[in-house]
Amino acid sequence: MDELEEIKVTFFQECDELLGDLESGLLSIDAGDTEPELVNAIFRAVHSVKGGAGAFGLEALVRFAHVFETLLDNVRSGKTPLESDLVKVLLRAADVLADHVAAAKLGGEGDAAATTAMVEELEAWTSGGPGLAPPALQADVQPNEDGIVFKPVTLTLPEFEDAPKEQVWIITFQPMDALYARANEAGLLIREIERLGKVEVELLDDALPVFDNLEPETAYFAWKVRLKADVTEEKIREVFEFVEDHCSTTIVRETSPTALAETGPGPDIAAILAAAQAAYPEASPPLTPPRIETVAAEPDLPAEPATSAVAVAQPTSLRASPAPPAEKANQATIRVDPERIDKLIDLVGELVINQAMLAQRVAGHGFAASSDVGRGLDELEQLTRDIQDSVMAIRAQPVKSVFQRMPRLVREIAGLTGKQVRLVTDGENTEVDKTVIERISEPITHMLRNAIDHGLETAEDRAAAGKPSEGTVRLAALHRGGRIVIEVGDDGRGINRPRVRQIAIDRGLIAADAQLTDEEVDNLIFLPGFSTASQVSDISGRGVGMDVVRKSVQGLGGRISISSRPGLGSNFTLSLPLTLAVLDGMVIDVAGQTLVVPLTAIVESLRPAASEVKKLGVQGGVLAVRDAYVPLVDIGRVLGFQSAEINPAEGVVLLVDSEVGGRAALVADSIHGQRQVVIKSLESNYQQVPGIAAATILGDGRVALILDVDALVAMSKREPLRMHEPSIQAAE
Amino acid sequence: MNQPAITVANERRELTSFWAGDQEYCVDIMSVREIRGWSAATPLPQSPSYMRGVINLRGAVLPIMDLAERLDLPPTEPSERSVIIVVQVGERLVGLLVDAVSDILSINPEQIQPTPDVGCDQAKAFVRGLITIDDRMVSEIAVERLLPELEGLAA
Amino acid sequence: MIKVLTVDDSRTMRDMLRLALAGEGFTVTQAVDGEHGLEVLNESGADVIITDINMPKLDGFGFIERVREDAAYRATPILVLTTESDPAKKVRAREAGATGWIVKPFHPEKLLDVIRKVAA
Repeated sequence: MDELEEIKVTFFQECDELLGDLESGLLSIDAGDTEPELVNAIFRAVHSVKGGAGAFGLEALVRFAHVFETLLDNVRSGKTPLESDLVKVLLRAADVLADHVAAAKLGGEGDAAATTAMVEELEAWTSGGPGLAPPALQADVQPNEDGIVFKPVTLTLPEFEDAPKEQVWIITFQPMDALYARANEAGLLIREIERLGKVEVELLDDALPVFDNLEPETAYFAWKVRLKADVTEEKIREVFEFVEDHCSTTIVRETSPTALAETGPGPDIAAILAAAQAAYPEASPPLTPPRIETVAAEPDLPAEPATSAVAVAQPTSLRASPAPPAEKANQATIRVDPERIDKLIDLVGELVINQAMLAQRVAGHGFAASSDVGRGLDELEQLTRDIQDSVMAIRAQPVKSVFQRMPRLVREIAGLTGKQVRLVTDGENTEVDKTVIERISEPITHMLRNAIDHGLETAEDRAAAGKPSEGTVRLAALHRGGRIVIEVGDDGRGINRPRVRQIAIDRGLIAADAQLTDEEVDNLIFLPGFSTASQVSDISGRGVGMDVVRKSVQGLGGRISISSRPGLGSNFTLSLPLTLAVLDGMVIDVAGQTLVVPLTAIVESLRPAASEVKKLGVQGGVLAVRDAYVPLVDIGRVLGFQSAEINPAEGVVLLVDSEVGGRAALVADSIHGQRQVVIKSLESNYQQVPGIAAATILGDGRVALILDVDALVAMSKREPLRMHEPSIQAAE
Repeated sequence: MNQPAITVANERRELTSFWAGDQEYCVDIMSVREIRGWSAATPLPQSPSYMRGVINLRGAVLPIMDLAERLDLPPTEPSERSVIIVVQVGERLVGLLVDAVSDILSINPEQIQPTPDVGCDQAKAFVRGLITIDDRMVSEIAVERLLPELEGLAA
Repeated sequence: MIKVLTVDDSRTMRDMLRLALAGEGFTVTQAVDGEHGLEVLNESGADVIITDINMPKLDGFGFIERVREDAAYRATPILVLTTESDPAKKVRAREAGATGWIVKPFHPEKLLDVIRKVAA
């Protein structure tokens, strides 16, 4: 990839951030935040998108951003009041801008019709409010606040029919102090003119006062340059582009050109400048005479504005608002190939495993924990964990990038359903490993769709129920117990339990006489094939039910649950590991194979007495655990490693909570203990394997498989899935 | 700028040949990543029997396929002489369990004949063509067709 | 080597400037806003400064004013990045002490021309 392409990639990444800032800024304003810096920030976001787009010649994007920016500039300067209706328009304009960026990323342009409509709307606001006719196209040349008219600077000059012939120009210019105060140099101006052709330079020092009256910081000199070149006056004017107000300049064509001396050296600019500087009482470095503010010394020249030469820090220029965290992170950053970090994380994972193996071997040799070796190992373990945490932190990202995409989704679903929805987000700076970030967007999207489509009532129904007509959907992230918890709540009608129960019975998911708690009923909506929508709507329908959501969450080693209060709303709670890179697991032996069971699934491990094991049917069995019977699942048989069953009374039983089948008792030959393992994908070189979540590499270099407990329990069941007992902790 | 692609018709190809189930096969040497000795694989549940399991290839999980069994020949009995040929198939790596590596062949593309219409389905499915060298017949394996139908590929 | 400090809150623009300058014998340092620009200037100095105008914390105008307050940088050329659509910015930038401007989007050649025009 060449460097420009790389910058383009950076540009689109930056666009995503800017669009996120734009939207969150607008949403804050919509929510009533009046901090002035917010308007500046949204202006800058659009401005930066435009700037970058211009650099890559993305013209459609530039054009739209420009219209958007113009309106925002009016808002910023107070010309256009920022009323609530306008914020809504700006939010939709932000969506159109996002579409343009997305289209540009794919090499196309945004939807023309949508753009045209939005441009008209924005221009109407720019010219004074909604409903007003868009203004006539503004001329390129417009007066600024000071009434000064600028000519646009043309970079490429049109070829005139009578192409300029070599002619002689007489250029006289007299710099003012202000010119030097801006680090412009008469010498450099002469050098620029010299680039155009052959020059003769004359220093005019008539204005130089007698020595006693000399002001060291005042510009006294003027120059007269005789230029022989085939250039237009514009070309010469360009030389003075930066100094036009700080230098009195005349450019005339010599009517009867007398030929410049064709021979002889060109002007020695350094000598001229040295001569000029020699006139000052103190020696100055070449080209940089010291200067301080003075009043213009020349009465025949326009007086300098007193404010211009030496600037005073404006208190207003230091804005007190905190920098957005993303910018903070930008400061003094280094770029690292993500693959290097992934590799580092892998290696640290291996280090953790090796450290654990070492500790085990040392303990096996009879060293006491209090011995030097034992203490040394403790320190090593602490250090290893610290390194691991630090390395993981490198790859951690705030969930903000995902949350930022949601307001738009909510607006769109609200539009489709005709419901009034307000999205409240919380905890968007909660950090989680990149591997998780990449995969939480989809379940969150589904949960939000579900909350608006099924959870919230229509405005009329809400009003009838005595609720505000605008429904609220809350999206929050927090850390809890070494996991990240994502909550999606709504203040809608809550789960209609009698109906859910009836559907589950109708579909054969539960027995007609099943005794279920409210919580169990609520969680029925996660069963495969369950859909509460009586009519398949555009939004939550299309076959993507909550069972699919749960499946994808489980694929991440996560859990999802719901709690609901009739009439008050529902709350989905999604709990995920902080990383998909490592996992705390129980290492077990089954049929001569070493397997790893995720610790999060395990409730407890038991060595059951023979009397606690009850046969049920030909192959099945249950284990009496305190007051309940829990189905036995023989891991080796389910996975097909062996046909004979282990007698649970001779092996070990892991009591697990599965999302699908409730509590189950996994039977294994033996337990090796807990380990943190590095998760290795089976899919990168092969494919998903039933009952297996992933693989890992043990200290001896062999591959061990990590069990997918839910899939395993599901595989062990022949009959329709049944809820056995509450398997999910209630939210909050 | 618009140069025609250089014709490759006359370029010689190099192939790695090996023995599997009493027959000689080969794959393009460009697809071979490495050749290593046999080490016990961790079996995968609920998988076709020709998938012998997975091994650790420098930190990555490498699936091992018994090539003979995949071709409907009697399964390979892994021994100390057995080797695993690690081949690249698209973005993936897969290890082929074979009896022994035999040769590096340098051939003209014209030497490869299409697979004749023989009764064996597996041969038709996995053999790209036949190469005759002296009195040997070597079948070129189409490695991209070896892996079982991939499900959940998009996930 | 001429040391150019580029101050812009847009990573894209900073990268573009670096790309245009680094191969042409300039040493490029970068800052993400005006305040950061002052810090970088204190730490590593600059022979030429190129700054954006719209930036968080301290905008381009404020930044230029603060730079010019420092006697060591009164003679350092400062170029502002502007867009053609807003000529008033040029006036304000010049009032603040800018030496010249670069119109975005810029052609790398034009950028180099402008720097040559102001750099001794």
